[in-house]
Amino acid sequence: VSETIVDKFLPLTTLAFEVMLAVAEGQLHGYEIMTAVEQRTDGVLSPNPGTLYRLIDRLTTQGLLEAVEAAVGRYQETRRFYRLSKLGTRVIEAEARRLESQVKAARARRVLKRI
Amino acid sequence: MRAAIFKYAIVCFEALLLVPPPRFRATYGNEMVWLFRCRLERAARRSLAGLLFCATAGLVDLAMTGVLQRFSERRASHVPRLPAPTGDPMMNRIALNMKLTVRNMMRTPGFTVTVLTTLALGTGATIAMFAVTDATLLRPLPYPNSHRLVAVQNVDESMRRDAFGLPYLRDLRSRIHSLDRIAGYSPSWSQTVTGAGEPRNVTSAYITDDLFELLGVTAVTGRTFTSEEYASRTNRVTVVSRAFWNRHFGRDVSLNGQVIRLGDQPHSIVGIIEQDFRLPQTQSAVSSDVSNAELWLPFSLNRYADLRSIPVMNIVGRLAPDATAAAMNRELQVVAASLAADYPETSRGRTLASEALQDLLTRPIERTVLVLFGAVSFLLLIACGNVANLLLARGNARQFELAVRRSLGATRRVIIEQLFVETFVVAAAGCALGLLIAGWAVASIPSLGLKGLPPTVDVRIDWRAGAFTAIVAAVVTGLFGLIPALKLSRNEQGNLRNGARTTEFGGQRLRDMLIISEVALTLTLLVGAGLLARSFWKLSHVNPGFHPENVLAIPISLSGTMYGTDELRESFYREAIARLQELPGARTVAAVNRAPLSGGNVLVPVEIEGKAGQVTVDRRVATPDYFATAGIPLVEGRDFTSEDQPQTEPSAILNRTAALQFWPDGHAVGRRLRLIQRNGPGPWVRVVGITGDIRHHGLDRAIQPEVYVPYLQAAVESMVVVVRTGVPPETITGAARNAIWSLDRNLPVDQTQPLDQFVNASLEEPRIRMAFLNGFAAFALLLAGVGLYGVVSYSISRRRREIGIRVALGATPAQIVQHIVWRGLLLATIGSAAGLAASALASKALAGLLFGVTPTDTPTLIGVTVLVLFICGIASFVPARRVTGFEPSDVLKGD
Repeated sequence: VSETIVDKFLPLTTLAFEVMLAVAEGQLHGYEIMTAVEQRTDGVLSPNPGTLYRLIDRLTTQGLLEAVEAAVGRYQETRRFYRLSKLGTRVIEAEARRLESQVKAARARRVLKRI
Repeated sequence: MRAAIFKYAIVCFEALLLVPPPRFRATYGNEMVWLFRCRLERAARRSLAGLLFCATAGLVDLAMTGVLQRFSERRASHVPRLPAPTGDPMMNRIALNMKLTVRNMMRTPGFTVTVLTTLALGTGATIAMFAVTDATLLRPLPYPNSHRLVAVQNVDESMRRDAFGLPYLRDLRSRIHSLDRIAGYSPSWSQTVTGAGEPRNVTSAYITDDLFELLGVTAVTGRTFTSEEYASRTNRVTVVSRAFWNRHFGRDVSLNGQVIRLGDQPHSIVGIIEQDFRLPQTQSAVSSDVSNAELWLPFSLNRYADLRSIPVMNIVGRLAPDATAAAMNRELQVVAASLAADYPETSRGRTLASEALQDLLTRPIERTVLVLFGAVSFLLLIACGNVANLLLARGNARQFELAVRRSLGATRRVIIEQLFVETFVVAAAGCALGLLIAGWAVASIPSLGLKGLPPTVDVRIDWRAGAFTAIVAAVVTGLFGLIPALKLSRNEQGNLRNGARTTEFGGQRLRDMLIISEVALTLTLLVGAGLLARSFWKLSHVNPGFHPENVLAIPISLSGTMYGTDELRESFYREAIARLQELPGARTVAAVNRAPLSGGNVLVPVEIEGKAGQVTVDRRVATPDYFATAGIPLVEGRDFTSEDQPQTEPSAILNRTAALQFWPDGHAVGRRLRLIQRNGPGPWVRVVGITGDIRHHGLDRAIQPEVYVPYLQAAVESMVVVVRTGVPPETITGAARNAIWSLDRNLPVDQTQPLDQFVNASLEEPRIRMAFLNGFAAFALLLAGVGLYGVVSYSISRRRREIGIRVALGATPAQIVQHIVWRGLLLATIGSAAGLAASALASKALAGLLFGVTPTDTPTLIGVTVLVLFICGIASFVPARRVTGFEPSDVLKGD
């Protein structure tokens, strides 16, 4: 996969970045994604079901996320989990780098004070 | 409440899942519902407002993302597909038209959202109001054979409908043959339940045998009363409601001979009955003591059980299968005559009347409900007018498309069919959304605490409301789909030649007519709303005759054997008044048997010295200082004092109305009258004072003649102790309760409240009525304004060329704006004139609901007309201002 393909997905929307960040460490299902996003952003982002699943659908179609089904719980219900695909991992990494360079530039111009 | 919202939100969410495309729904539907449910549960734990917000946000989000998803999927795979023409060609065409319509709607989201919102709100309000009307007026009462149930009433000389003494039951049963079952009940007796926590007042009902059978009540646990229990005076048993049981014993405890104390008597519980059984009650909405009975007792235990003269028993009967109402009424006249002959002292001059139970219960609120339903139908008509206007306007813009279709061979019928199907799809979608809105509205009715609704009413959206919705959708389509369809399809060949450049604007007159009708309907609604608002204002500014501010009212009932004698009760009240007097913040303390506006009343006949005949007056019993405490002015003479003892000459104080009625010469003080008591005329009573009139029965009711007698000369069991305070009365409620409890820990004082609460409660029903009608009217005004705005701005866009030519020929923009605004105002004026004429007819329906205002109140009519013209002026001015930016060269360049 060349860098140009990865670049095609950038920049990610805030919510897309947060969702991909949430599943970066392992597979999660929809509700876990929502709570993870809420916790990470202190409740600033709290996606409604419609928005969240539309995004998940887009990311899955674009190949950034993968859906896996697994039976969980006492009753072995089938539930769908989402995780980053290889492409997704590279896209979020590229996006993080892009953001990092922006933050660095902000620090250099003293827009953001060093801690 | 929360559970209802929760349920509705989930149902709505599942319904809205139809918005996103099928693939999306199939993949994520279940997960989304589950996530939505989790979010709702979390929000519900925090607050009601949070839950509402979360539900609304989730639903709106789903609707929007669903539409967006459809768009993006269509864009992704845009391959036009037409169904293979199989089956019935007409059905195929209709299906195709529907598909076309949905596609068109998706293509113009702004238009679609406007139309659907207008329709949804209009139909939603109508459906919700239908549900209320259905539940209150149309649906049969929740009793078996309810259409054959009648109430029998004991009518006195002055045509007042009264109840019966219990001993009459046997006579009525043996003499009335057209009723195959007759039973009696007395619905609201306050009982003190002790032994379980804080003593509580609970509403109980006394019933005779056959009542439960007649009204179809069975015990869910245990049993109802046996015939021995119905007859026994000593066997103390009771049946309780499920709610009472759960509260006092707990949901999981089973019935096992439990005993409760009512007053000081132990009663054993023999059964528990259905949760939602309610006795028919006819009290008005104002009286605050209407509540559903939770305890049922055999009538033989009532303390008035053997008195023929005390009317405590309501009678309900079921028409025999072969009897008619007319035959029963004839029979009742004969029975009344025989009763008058047998019991002259209680039945002479009285007749019997009957009324269908349903009518009896619905009469008090019938008018309010019908007025509101009428108002809401106006609203729906206005909403439909707006939608028709929008459809017409858009149809005009599509004339070119229709002309092309016609020239390609579409017959007029096919085009009408297409337009008709379009309207139908829009109307159906609007009604479906309206049904959801109505569901929300109805679910929130219990939280409004509408006391005006009879207790037997259970408002819900069911198949009847669904059927009504279907009818509304059909009417909307028929009325407002047919007009544009006929209008637009008539277009002959000319249009294709003119193309889009036509200057004639077809249908302008039709749109003008629609706007005129909308303005007329709006004005009619506003007149109604204005009249109710003015009535309410006047009502809330009525001088009640007393000063309810800073007065605490503590109703105390000393029934039972602990206070068996007048002396015990007298010393209790004396001590209670003394202790309350010592409270910091208390100024004066007194007691009266019925507090003003509290709904209670005692009527007695009196004889006036030197005059023949009897007059009925309201009798009140008061202690010294009552008038000062309640803020009732003493006009003449003196107040009661501690000198008014049982052995001194009986004294009385009249209100001004009574004084002038009995002695029109104006010299009442010093004259004498006597009260007729149960066992004949009482002693002569001297009038010692005259007080100002008070509105005892309601702010809108006439003042009745009143006689006050001193407590020491007429001891009664129940008094309301009133405390005038120097501080806000709420602040000493707790201290006042403790003062009473320091005398007797078992007395219930849970109904302690500031006296002005009674005043507020009596304004409750008019306030709700006014709020609803005003809400509808404001919404109607908004719709009419938006409608006019749409018509004006549409006509401007159609007349660009004309306006361009005018400007080119030297007209100034100001002149054009003026011309357009005048036109708008002309429509509004014609509409207002029509509306004023219509409101003259419509506000007759309001006559019974108005107070101090006539249906043709000039200030209201003028104010409302000015308001309508003002709004219409603005609605035409705002779009008209756009023409100032016209450059004639730009407009005419196209030619």
